[in-house]
Amino acid sequence: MKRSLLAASLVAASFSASAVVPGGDSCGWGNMLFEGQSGLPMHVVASTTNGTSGNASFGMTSGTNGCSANGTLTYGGNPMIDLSSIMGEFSEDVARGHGDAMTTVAVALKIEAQDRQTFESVMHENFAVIFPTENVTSEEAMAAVLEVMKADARLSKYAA
Amino acid sequence: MYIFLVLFVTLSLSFSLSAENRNTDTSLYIEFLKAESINKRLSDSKTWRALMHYHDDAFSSTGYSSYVDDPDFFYTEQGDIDGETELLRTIEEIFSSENIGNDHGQCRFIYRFKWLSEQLNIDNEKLPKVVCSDYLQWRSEVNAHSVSLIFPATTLNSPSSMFGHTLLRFDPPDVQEGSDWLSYALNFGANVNNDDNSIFFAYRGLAGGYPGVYNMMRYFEKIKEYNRMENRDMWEYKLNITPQEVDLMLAHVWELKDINFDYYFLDENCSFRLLELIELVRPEANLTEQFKYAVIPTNTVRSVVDEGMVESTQFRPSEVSVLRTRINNLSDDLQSLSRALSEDISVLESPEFTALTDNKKGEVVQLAYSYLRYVQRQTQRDEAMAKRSHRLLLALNKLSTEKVIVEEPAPPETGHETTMAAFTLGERNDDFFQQLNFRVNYHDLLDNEQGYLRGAQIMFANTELRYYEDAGFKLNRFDLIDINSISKRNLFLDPLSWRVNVGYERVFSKTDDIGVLQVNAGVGHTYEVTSDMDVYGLFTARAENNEDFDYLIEPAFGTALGMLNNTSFGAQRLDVNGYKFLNGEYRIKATFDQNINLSINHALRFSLGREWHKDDSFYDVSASYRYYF
Repeated sequence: MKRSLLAASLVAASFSASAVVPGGDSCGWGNMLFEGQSGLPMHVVASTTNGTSGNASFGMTSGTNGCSANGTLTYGGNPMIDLSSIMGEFSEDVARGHGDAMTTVAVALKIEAQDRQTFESVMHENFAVIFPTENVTSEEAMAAVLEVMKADARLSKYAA
Repeated sequence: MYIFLVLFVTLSLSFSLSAENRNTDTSLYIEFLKAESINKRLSDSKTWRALMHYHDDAFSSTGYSSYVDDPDFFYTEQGDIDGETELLRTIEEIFSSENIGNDHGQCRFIYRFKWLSEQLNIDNEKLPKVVCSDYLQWRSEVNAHSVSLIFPATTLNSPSSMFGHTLLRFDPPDVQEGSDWLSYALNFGANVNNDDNSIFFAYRGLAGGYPGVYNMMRYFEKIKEYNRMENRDMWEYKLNITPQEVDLMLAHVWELKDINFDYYFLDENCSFRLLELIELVRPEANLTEQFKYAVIPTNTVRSVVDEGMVESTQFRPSEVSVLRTRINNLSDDLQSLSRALSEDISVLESPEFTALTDNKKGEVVQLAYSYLRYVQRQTQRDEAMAKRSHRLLLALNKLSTEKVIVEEPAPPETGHETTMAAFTLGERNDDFFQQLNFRVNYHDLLDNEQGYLRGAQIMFANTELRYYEDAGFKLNRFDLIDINSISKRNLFLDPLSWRVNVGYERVFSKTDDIGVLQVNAGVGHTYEVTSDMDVYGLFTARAENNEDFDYLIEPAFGTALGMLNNTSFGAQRLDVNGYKFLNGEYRIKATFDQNINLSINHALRFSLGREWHKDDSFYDVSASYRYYF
């Protein structure tokens, strides 16, 4: 009970003005965990022709995954790599305490090699804070990750 | 003529050195460079042709044309068929005093600029100073140091993955300590319009109705696409391309940003485009010349391996491969428990579960969770399932689970070659025959499985030409397409097995063998008997055009039952296939085939067949020698 209250207040604090989903409505940050697969016919064609569906991105931080260039999720004033599409994997890795998605998030947050172990165990201990319900969005989970990091002596510098 | 021009320009240039007017000076210098480029025949060079994506083209007035189908890629209107004019104009553009910025010739076509500077020894002092901020920002973000060729392999039940796909991944210097998930993937594919909902888009995709473009994205998007959504294992080949060569590749990739190519699924596809890119920095490799026609992605892999360009190979199993391994790692009882848990979270409180060791609990919960993720991927978000998934993660958070190790199969390039020819001797109902067999590609269920996916048969243009002593040459069969997917079911996974065949075959009809055109398909289930032996059963339907029948097309329905066994010396299959036409005629055929792998590209195959018809029954036995090349 206490924990989820804490989580709720953390999320509210860090994204108080988040009525607008960063990157726009079609952006992955607004997705809830355990999202299913939609748009099947499109997917079939895209894979038949090895193509992309109308969003020919060219590797810029923004502009991928349906996110518009302005309003990208930021932290520390920097645009954040859109990790919304791996939030499902990340939640599993956080639950277990290890995995590729967790490493990816650590690297994206520029956490240095000597602090990765700490990051993994802090995330692992705070699973229920970061993912309090099945309806948590990627954006809320990411905000909670940053808040949990701020509360840790070794990790706070990465979440500033 | 050229020499005079050079002389003239050189002379006038030396006179103009003292001239005050920089404009005159520059324009003379440009004229000199243009003359030099003509003199050196730069536009005929291999690099320029590669940069412009020229290829021989009998329909072009110049004898060649560019694969690029986009005016933005050329400065001149005839740039797609006239390399010299385009080159001369490019020289002018890199000296242009207008548009100093990202659209300037020095920024727009980085590789052309670098290469021309080198070839013509262009004096930097004479060039306008341009800062390519967009390129520099992009290049630092795509912090690439090395490059890997990525091959998502074929998967069962997805015809679109038939030949696989290839893409490139650009890794930063510290990828070992970091995460390759964040590396950039370069993909070439059709740019499909989201709004286009017509049922023709698959057709259009194949026929070139959509333009092909390059795009780049984080590699995890590709892992998600192939490993997770399409259940495809991925092979990653680190190439021995140097950081300098990577830099050149990316300079050209930047030139191709938002540029449309003609895209054809079979030849000018992803593989061809990537080979071109590799060839640009390794002109001696000659990768594209080997593949004038259909470029099969496995052969892309094979060619870079053969050229000695592969440093190391990595296997990234698909999520379903991981799931299958997790299933196989648990006993039957624990599998059932895990399956029950995935349906009902209260199993966590059941005595069967609580009695387990923490370690086993962890594995049971992990499997239940992984299974739900697998199911979830194929449907819309389901509230109850999401809730169960979350509860399972909470439980997993208190337990622990091992990192699962999927047994690594033989890499695809170690498999047999994709074209096959065979010589067969046999007897059909007392008639001796000799037969030549030719298959354009790719693999059947009995071929040596090394490097191929077990249970996946894909054949194009499979031809059997028979010679009977008394009846002469007969086309025995021609399979235009023959796909067979044998995909086994278990407690968790319930894929369908299916087959589709379109072609011509000689069949016994009424009193004699005659040729018919036919389409047949079947769908059913496959179950595992041992890890190497599967049994299958399918319901089948057939439409046949047979001159002996009253109607142009006569439908038939039936069943097929069989067993497929992969032994250490080769695969064997028993197949019983029967169907009955609406007009009452029926055919039943039982065959036993045994393949004996002599080596990767050589095999023997023995076949025993027996057929039963309304008025007759007979046999067909044969032995063949098969060669793959």
